[in-house]
Amino acid sequence: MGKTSEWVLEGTNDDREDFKIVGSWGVPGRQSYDMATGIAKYPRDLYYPGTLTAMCLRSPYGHAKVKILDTSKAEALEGVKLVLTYEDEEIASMPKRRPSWFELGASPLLCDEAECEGDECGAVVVAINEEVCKKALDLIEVEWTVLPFILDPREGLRPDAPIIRPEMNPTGNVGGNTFGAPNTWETGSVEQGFKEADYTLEYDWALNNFCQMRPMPPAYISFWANDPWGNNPYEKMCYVTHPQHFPAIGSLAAAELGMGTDEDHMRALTPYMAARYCDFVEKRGAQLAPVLSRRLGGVPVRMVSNRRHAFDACVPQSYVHARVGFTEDGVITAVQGHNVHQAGLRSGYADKTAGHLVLPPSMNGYRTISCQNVYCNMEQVLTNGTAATADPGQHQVDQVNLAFGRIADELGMDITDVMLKNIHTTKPSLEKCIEEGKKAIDWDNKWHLPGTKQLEDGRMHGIAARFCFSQTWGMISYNVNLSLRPDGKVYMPYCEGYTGTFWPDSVRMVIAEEIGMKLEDVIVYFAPHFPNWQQGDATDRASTCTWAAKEAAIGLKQQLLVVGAGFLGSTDPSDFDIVDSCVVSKSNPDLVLPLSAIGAQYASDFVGRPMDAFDATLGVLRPMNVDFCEVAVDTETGEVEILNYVSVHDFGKVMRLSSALGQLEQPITMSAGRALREQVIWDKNTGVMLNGNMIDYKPPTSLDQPPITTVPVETRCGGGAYGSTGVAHAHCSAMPVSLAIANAIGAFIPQEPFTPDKVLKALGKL
Amino acid sequence: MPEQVSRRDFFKIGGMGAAGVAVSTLGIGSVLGMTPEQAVATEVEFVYTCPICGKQFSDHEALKAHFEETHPDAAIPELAVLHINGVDYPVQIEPHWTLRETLQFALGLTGSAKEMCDRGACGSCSVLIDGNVALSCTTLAIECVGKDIQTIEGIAADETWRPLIDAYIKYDCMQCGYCTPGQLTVAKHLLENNPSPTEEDIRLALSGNICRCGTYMRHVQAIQEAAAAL
Repeated sequence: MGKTSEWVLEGTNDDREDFKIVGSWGVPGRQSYDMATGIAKYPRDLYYPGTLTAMCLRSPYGHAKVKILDTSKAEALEGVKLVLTYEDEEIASMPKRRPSWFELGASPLLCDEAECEGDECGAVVVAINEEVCKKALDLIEVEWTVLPFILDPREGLRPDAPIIRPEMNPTGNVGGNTFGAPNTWETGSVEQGFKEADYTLEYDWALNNFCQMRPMPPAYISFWANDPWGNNPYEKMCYVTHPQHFPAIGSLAAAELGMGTDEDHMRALTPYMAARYCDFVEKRGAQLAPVLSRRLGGVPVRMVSNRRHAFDACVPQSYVHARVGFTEDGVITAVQGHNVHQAGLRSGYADKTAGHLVLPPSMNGYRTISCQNVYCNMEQVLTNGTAATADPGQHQVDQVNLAFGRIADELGMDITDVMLKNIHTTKPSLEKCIEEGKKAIDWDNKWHLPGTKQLEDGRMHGIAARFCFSQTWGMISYNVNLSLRPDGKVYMPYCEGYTGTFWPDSVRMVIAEEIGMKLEDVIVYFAPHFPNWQQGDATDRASTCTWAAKEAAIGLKQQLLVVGAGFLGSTDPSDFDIVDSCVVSKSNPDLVLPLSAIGAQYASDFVGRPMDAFDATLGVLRPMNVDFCEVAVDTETGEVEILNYVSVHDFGKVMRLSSALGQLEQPITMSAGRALREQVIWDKNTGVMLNGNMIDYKPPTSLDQPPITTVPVETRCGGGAYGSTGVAHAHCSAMPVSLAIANAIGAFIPQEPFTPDKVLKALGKL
Repeated sequence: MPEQVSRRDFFKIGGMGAAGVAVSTLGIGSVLGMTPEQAVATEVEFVYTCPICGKQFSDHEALKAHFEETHPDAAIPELAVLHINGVDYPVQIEPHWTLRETLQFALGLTGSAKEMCDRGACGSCSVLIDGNVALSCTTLAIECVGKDIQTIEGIAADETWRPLIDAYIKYDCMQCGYCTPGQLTVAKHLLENNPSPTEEDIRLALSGNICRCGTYMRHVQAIQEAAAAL
């Protein structure tokens, strides 16, 4: 057994057991009817009378600079309202403010250099409609200087590689790490660790440019108008499409940063933003649309991307080579690794397209094991091609799983035994997940040594398991505001985007549970004038923000009991409880006061965050999860079929069962595509994207979804209310399929997707 | 508010009912929507917009006169009637406008006008035309004249299909919800033609509708439950 930790629940009622509402399935999503019936307005749906269309000039080259730009013919075209170039004073100075990490790639929002094919560059046109816009763009006379480009980060490290971003690094293409995290570090003694090892293995492993492919291509609309609520009467209010849950790069915040204005001048137009899978890559429209609108007197300006444009945000390439020492018992004693990671356009968090680069798959994942003799060296290489989207940790543990798989094969061990020997976990989460998963997939009857089981149809059978920890993302504080209104209902405003996690419903359930309200008497509502980033929308933050909701609810309940007791002629609030939205005497059940009878406002809030919510850096892993995967491999054709997928997740405590399980089905379905066929490809000669559409890039359909069994585990050791935790990226991984293929054919394929050609190559048939 | 945008217009956009009435707008669609009172009466007041210079006119004849005078070489946008969710809507249509664009920009019916791929690969813009599933992003609006068009707004307003909607809610068939109206439209078509579909039938029927949130298995549950209730 690896090291273990204990988790102690904190806060009031965190150890509650008598749940009436929390954990149930049958609570309809408050926004579900709107979404199902088409009433929900997404940013792309918004269109107002007089709306103008804005479009940017785009580069046809993989890397190019504007040499000559003449917009006079475009400006003269009938229907064109405005043409601005990178030389415009206001555009050139955008964004007006930047968070510190924007400095990694500080550059004007619209400049004369295009970093990838399709990059918005040089000029922006505003016209009465899309057709006129396109005609105007065609009339812009532009001469490009075509520059050398880099698509593969390994190429960027070659001595003869062109330096593509000299203003960031004049001597090479290596960029910085997000948040200034170190790229090279060592813990313990790697040298000593290898001395203690009985065996050593080496592996190569690589990630490709997989596109999360958000359903709605980015869309922005903005206008300026008088503030209908009377705030700041001398200044106009800027309306923008939607907020975004990551505080600094949401379109609302992006607009604010771009304009150099304050958030009290910004209003969100809709909570709906379609899905985000941590591909927080905002386009220039987030910042340009408000500026263009203001320049045109406040008229609505719509700036949208098409599907192809949305393909420029991908999970970055990463190439790992590592050496692992381990004992004959399967215990890791030392790890030494190097990875070359694609930092992409302007080193990830680019202010042009606001890429997102958090935790690349360095050796950091080995912090999850008990052995701490680890050396890590990482190079983050600037490239063209794609903006880097999120890598929030799950890939770090993928290579740990890879090592476990290789160790298990080498020693003839069950991979789950290797996990239990090495992972530093909080009891009993990992054991419970493994136990439940083994049961669900019938592991004991199906597991076998690599390459030893053939199915009746002649295909090879493979089975594997892969662990991950559950991220409980507590990097921000939460700010939950509750008020009992004279109608006897409790209201909670929010202003964060809705991406599909049903978090307002989870929060609502917790509030109702804690106060003793009927669910219908708790109203969690979108308030576009309330932009204080108080809740979470990723499942991890959605979970941890329930902590704040619980604490605020407890504070409100205490007030209501005092007031309610007074109404009922008592000075002892401890004799009262709230049941079904009524204050009820415990000693005399006839004494009942509906909260609506109070007829006044009482309010409570909670500002803060749960203890140690961001726990991975502390080396303490709380809730775990384990995916089990079963495949059949046709060794003649190389085709892989996923036969079965069991996903076991320790939610700590399930808030809303249906959406909790849905958060497992989503990444597993996505990962099936990633494992078997999804990869964005650029032409090596021109830098042009080749498959940026949904015909050539093939996300799984209903026929491609593997059979999925989801198993919720509740060990109450998370950082959200009642020890809950989220799901987030934990299951977004091709590794379970990869390990299962290795179990089937006895050979590991180092690079996803695991297409037939790679399988046949691994089998020595190509 | 910008000059061109009245509070009334915003009210209409925000408060569009499930009856699928026209609510906005100018732009390429050139239809100004109705007041709430008119919505009840399902009457539509139009403003015709020149797609070349943006000038607006109160009737199609005036728009035609404007073209003859100002843009004599350009094709005059058609005035066509689209029969959508049981209501006839006169709409200014240009030859290249797709049904998806027309639904969104001319009529404000954005429920079924979801743009995900814009080239017939994702099913998010699915509508029913004469009872058959059609992709509105690859169907020209002018082709739809004289045909019966059903969008999600019309399906949702029809009480017959309430069990299907309810089942979709019960099983959380949506996460982000962007593709859901398209899925529901196809589900309705499936149930009309196959009252007791198997899982295989359902997965096959929905195989043209991409859901990146991976909700497919929920649709199977919901459609089978709705089938039993319908």
